[in-house]
Amino acid sequence: MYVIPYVIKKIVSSIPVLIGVSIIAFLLGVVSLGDPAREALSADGVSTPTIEEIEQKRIELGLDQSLPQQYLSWMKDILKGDLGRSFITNIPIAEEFKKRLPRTFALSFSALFLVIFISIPLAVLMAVNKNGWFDHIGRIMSLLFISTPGFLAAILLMMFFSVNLRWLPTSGYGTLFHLLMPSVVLALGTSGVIMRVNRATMLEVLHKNYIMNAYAKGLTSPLVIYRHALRNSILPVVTLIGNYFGGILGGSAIIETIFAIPGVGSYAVQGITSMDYPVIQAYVLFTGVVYILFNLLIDLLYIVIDPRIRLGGELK
Amino acid sequence: MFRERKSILMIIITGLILVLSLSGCGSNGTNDVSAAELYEKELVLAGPRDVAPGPEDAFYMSSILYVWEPLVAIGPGQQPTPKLATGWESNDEKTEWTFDLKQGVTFHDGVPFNADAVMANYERYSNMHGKRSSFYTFHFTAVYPNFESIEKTGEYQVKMTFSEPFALLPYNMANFGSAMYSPDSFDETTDFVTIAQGTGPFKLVEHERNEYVLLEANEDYYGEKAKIKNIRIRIIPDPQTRFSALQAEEIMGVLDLGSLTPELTKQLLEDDRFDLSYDKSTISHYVSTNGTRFPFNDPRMKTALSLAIDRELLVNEFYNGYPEPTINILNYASPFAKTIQPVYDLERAEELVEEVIGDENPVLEIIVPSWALDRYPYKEQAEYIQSVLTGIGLQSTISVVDGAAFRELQSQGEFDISLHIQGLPDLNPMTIFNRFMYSQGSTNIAYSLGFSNERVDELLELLAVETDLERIKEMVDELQDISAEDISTHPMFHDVTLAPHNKAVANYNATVYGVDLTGVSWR
Amino acid sequence: MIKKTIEITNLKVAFSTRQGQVKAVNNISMTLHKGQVIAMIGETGSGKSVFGLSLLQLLPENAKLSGEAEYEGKNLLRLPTSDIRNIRGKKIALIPQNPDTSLNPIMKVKKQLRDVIDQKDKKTYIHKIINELKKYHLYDPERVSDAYPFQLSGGMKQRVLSASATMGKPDLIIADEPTKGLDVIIRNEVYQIFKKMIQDTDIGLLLITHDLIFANTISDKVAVLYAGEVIEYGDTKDLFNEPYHPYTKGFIEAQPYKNLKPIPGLPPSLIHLPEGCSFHPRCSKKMPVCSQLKPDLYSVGNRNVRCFLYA
Repeated sequence: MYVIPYVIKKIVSSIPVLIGVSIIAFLLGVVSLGDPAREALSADGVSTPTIEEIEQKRIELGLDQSLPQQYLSWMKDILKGDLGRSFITNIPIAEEFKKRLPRTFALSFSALFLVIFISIPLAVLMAVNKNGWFDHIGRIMSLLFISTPGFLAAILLMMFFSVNLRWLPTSGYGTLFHLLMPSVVLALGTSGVIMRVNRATMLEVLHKNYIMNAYAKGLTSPLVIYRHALRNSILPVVTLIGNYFGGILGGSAIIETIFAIPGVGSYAVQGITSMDYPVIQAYVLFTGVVYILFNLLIDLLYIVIDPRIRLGGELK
Repeated sequence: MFRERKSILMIIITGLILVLSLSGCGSNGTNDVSAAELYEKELVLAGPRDVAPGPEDAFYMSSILYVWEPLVAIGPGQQPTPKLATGWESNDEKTEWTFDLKQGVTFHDGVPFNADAVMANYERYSNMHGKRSSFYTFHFTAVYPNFESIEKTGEYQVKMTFSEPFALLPYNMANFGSAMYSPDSFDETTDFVTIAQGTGPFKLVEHERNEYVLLEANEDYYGEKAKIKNIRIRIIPDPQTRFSALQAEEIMGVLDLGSLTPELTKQLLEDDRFDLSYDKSTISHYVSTNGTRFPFNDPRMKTALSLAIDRELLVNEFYNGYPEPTINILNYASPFAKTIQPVYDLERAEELVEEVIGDENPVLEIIVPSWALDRYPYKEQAEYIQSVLTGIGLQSTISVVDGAAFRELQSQGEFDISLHIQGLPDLNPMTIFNRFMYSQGSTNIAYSLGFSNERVDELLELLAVETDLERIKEMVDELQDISAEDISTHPMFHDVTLAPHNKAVANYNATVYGVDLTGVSWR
Repeated sequence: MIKKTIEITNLKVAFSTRQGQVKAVNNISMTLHKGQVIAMIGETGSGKSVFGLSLLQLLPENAKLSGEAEYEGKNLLRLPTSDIRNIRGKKIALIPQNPDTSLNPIMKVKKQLRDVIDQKDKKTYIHKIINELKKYHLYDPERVSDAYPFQLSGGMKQRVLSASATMGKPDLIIADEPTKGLDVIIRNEVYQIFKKMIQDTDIGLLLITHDLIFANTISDKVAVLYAGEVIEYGDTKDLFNEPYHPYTKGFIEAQPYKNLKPIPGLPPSLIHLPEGCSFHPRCSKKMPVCSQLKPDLYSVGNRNVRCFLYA
């Protein structure tokens, strides 16, 4: 199986990418407007540190060292497994990540689930019902999904399902009910896109000769679609979904804030607005790893589901 | 055939959706319960930030949870009041202070509260060098300047010694300045090793960072016991979500700074189910001008701006009329504060602007910190100020910037007008004057106020060593008067602590910083 | 003995398009018998594929069918979907055009062949599949059945499609241009495949093709199509020896193995068919009546010719 050397090659070639990404993240923090030492001392909202206090803090946080020095000492710690502590709260970052990741993952997986199991079947039905009323409604809905901003959808859903109907909790984390609305909001935009794209690929596939042949063999429409059309129509969509999922694993700050789900997305935004270098760097590294991992997974997925990629040419 | 079946399925699904969406709301049954059950019924509240950050925070949790208590508390009239210290005395030079401690008090973990415990706490404080806190950055030398020693002078008595006279010690110690924890809850590194154990009417039994905090009534409390056994405080960062949670009756009230914006509060009160209590807050709102560059390096310009802003209008239009308009830099929750009425004189303002600007046409940069938008209508306020400026012949731009960039711009002096708040860190009046009006004051420099007044510097030096409370009061009065005349920063109004709540809860009373949780009960 | 036939009467197929009605098939009547091979020849666009597909209702949505195709007492053209489904692949099978695109590219051959079998037991249906593939002289049927279409050569794919059609042991097979686009060597392979198929079973076959050699090799009768109409019909040997209709003559003359002499002009637009005989604009033998009246199918011995020359 040539898969294993392929995977190893991919992982090895991604290391320079990760290093590059971490350097850029580090530098982005540095060039931003603001002073981490001052921020750390102003965290309570009532204090104004003196210049001497800020200087002292800078030394304490190691900000007086040269940039390459700071970067290297951070990298050294990372390789030992130590993600460092927040400049602002001093809380260990690894601890925060451990707590927050499962929440973001749960949210992302639910959203992924909704995207796959709602938008793909809808897309298929729309294609089959081409230009019929279901298709038209579906296309309008997908446009609505794509163009509705997350926060608006969140507010509307919350008003309707939590305040009026009292069916779902407004916010928080704990049960499937808590995950429902945030996952829907998270899945919304991409669902709209997938509905359209998959509808298009499905229509393309349905025009192919092998579909007509399938009918000629006496198969029912559901069987033709399920056995022959579906898998072929999904291939282009896999990349879309893979990229989407990789993206939302980094967390969505807006949705996490509105629905009070303390995940990695809101953690990242907090870190960015308070110039918390270690948090920013750890987060960027994390998303870099996730992104690379996902690209790898998508490649592997294609190998699995498309035999043309897996096997190549003709039999002898 | 497939198509026909699918169409039927479509109709059924659409029908179901219609039926569900037209169904009525859930209802709340009335509860006729006994007093005991009312005690047991959990109260759920919410706040915007984590009120119990945990062991990394110098205080573990906010004072508004009523879990830890200080030696000296803030009492009625905002005066320093005995709490865990029953009384105090000092020598005439104000260099030695003796505190009598309350007897018969134990920490939540059973450790007795006595002089030994106090000593252990002060050992911790003197070793804590700039330990972080979301609530109050504790600098020992700032709270206890010229501190020499503390000694146990009795089972329930301690004595503190200072190398210089310190008349206002109890004012510095109030609340965050003298929090007491069980010595078993922290170690030599000054870090907490367990959930912090205090002496208060509530215990912190459980908390999950950024999710919730669970309080349980301390049934062995020496004073007025809590009327509800369990209070859960959920952390909901978004103000709109908090509002929805109140409407959905998931939570019965909100607390902590910025719990609900004035606009949302107004909306909430239109609903009969809700009520509001409020109290003076230690937060005041200011508009600071850049005194290190043209045009605000000219004092006439600052006066012009102050005269041109209609603070009454501001308070009534944007803040529902609760706060108190002012031009006194000292917040009205301070025991030393006096009321100074703002002056609104648009004509005079225009004259002064003419004098300073002449033919020039500067474009003033107004900066607003983005975190404030979640709490206050700062964007609208900035737009109001912009219109005021236009009225007196000045153009301006508004930039909303995130907190770090905001502070950077302030310290670099790359702005003309900035909107911000300031809270009273303690009851010591000198703190605010030292920071804003002392020529080398930390805030003066950090906010580029460019302020310098000889008399102010003089008064502050005198105050540092003054021992007579009456004299102190006189000098602080003078400082306040100066602050209204010679402008360092422009106070707008003194804010209120809003405590919106569901009427199902009684005695949800706002305090100067939080809500009186011990008095809260189910109706 | 009930002879399995499809009795076709006045079959018409028109496609509604934006440019107008495309009259692809105009009034074809013929009978397909089990045990008989009828070749349907004509140029591209003459309507032969459309005719074949219409019998199994495999045309796209905008096709309008009229006429009758009676099979087992029912009109194939009007059967509800569930009924025609039971006929497709089982009683009447199709060998589609274009082996390259008629097989699902990402599905193994055995899975695609399984579509035609009503067997749950894996061993049994695999066995059936291998057996069927063997009949087509595939020297490694196991490997072929386990392969994906892109791994097979054109000839192999054609065999797979044929196996797919014969697997259900249908009464009649409609073979749509089996040798289109194939090179000479593979063509010969295909001729052999079909010859064997006909020998081993007594299926009826409608061979749609413009490969005259193929038609000559295996068919009993030939129908010549032009602009959606049958313009000549008769026994294969006779027709090829002595074509009667001017178009047929010209068509044969145009073949590579003959003189490669093209018929002047272009086939007519199926939206705006010519008045009178549809071939008259290109006919060297045309008479005045040809542009005014439509000729019927006149009998001349065992031959039917749609030409006024034979009226």
